Amino acid sequence: MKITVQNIEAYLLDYCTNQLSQKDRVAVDKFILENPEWMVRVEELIHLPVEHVVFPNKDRLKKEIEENEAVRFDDDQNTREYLLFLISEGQLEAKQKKTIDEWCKIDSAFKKEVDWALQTRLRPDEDTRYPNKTRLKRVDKSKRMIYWVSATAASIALFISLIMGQQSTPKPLLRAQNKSHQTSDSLVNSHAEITSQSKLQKQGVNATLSDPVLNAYNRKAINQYSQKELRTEDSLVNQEIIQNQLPDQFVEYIAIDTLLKSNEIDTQKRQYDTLNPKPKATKTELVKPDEYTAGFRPKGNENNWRTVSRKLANISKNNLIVRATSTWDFSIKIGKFSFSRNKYSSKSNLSMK
Amino acid sequence: MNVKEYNESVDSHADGLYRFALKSLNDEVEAEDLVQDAFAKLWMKRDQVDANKAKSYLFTTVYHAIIDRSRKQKRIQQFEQSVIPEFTSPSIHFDLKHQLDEALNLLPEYQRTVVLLRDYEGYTYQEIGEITGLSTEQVKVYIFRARKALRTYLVSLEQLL
Repeated sequence: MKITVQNIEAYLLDYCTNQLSQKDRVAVDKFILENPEWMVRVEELIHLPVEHVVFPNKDRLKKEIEENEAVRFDDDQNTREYLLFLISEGQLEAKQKKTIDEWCKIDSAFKKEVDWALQTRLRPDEDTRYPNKTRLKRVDKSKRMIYWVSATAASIALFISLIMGQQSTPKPLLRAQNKSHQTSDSLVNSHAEITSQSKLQKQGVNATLSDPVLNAYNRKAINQYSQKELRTEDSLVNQEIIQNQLPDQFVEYIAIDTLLKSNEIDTQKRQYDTLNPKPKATKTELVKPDEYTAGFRPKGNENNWRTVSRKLANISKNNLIVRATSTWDFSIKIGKFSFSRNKYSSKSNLSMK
Repeated sequence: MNVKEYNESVDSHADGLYRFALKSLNDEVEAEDLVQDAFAKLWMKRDQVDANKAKSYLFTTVYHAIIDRSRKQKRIQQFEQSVIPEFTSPSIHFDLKHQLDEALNLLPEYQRTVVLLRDYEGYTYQEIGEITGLSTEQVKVYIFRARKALRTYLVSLEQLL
């Protein structure tokens, strides 16, 4: 709005009380420069005296607070309910309490309700505790790292000690092959327990079992196994032939025994493995886990051999675990030997690479 | 929230949380599961939840799980309905704690949970509102109704006996 003589006074009031915008202040300044007679009015406004007018005896108007005065409530049901709620919530003020006390004196039914209202406050049963609280807790990653480092170090130490122990013990296989070494009584006994060593010996197999790794369970399993009058179709093909730790020689023994019992094998090959056992290097090779492979093939699909997980066929140094279902043919390769069986024809085949 | 603070919150709040869940559900196994789930969620969100907000986070999680469960079981009553419970077979021996528990079980889920948060954990109306997602006035109304229902139950029981 343009500043004129008609509205300059209103602008000047705002100007002196700092209520004008910057733009309006500039406009007022410009107007005063152009009309210097208004400067006097500005001076008057700036130096306007401030009057301090105070109402006398203000305190006389105030009411005195009576601390113990009961609050007057309407004695109706809603008010009672509200007060009972405050009681149970523990939010009653002194004045309200006084009112309630007065009501209780004259109304016994209300007094009982007050008593019950106090009882409605629930109290937690401190004996109820969360079971297995430690299960909820977490372990600091750094602590876990320390744990794993310690555990790994312990495992390595254990592994090294086992290796050292093995190296200090002569190989039973070598010991058996070396005629100059005398086998201990225990080795002889366990050997006798197990299976037809003599039968094998007749055919030229000169193997023995290492006793230390045989526990009672293994013995039982081996005995059961040896009592089966090993037949090719019952040995490697049956489900879960052996699920125990076996001595190295026993793994080898199964292979050899299977070889002996198979009617399908070539005599020359049999001689190669049994009658004229290869030097120790070959036999050692038989027990190398890396050289064992096992596979299954679906029925009627001869070209589709599958390598199965070690859950199904796990042949390692000390374990021979074979799980084969009746609808699947089975194949196993041990070292240079490949053994396979057709479930339905009951024919087994052993071949050599 | 770091691991130490998390474990401290287990020590501080697991029991209270369990009591709250147990009283709301009346099922030990489910109460245990809810508490375990709540702590699992807290652990997953530990980077986002401040240590001093852990308790509120835990109770909020368990509260919503209880309400969800109740909805599934269709046990929850009308939101605005005020329920004055009726008892049918009062015990011969008046055991206040036992009777209070019985009365508590008759309350609608919203009323029961808010009154448990109020009495067991001492939360203010505003804090209960934050946990439950209700307004402060709604919380007050639910607690008012719950108290009235509990009192009515006890008075009626006493008169009968």
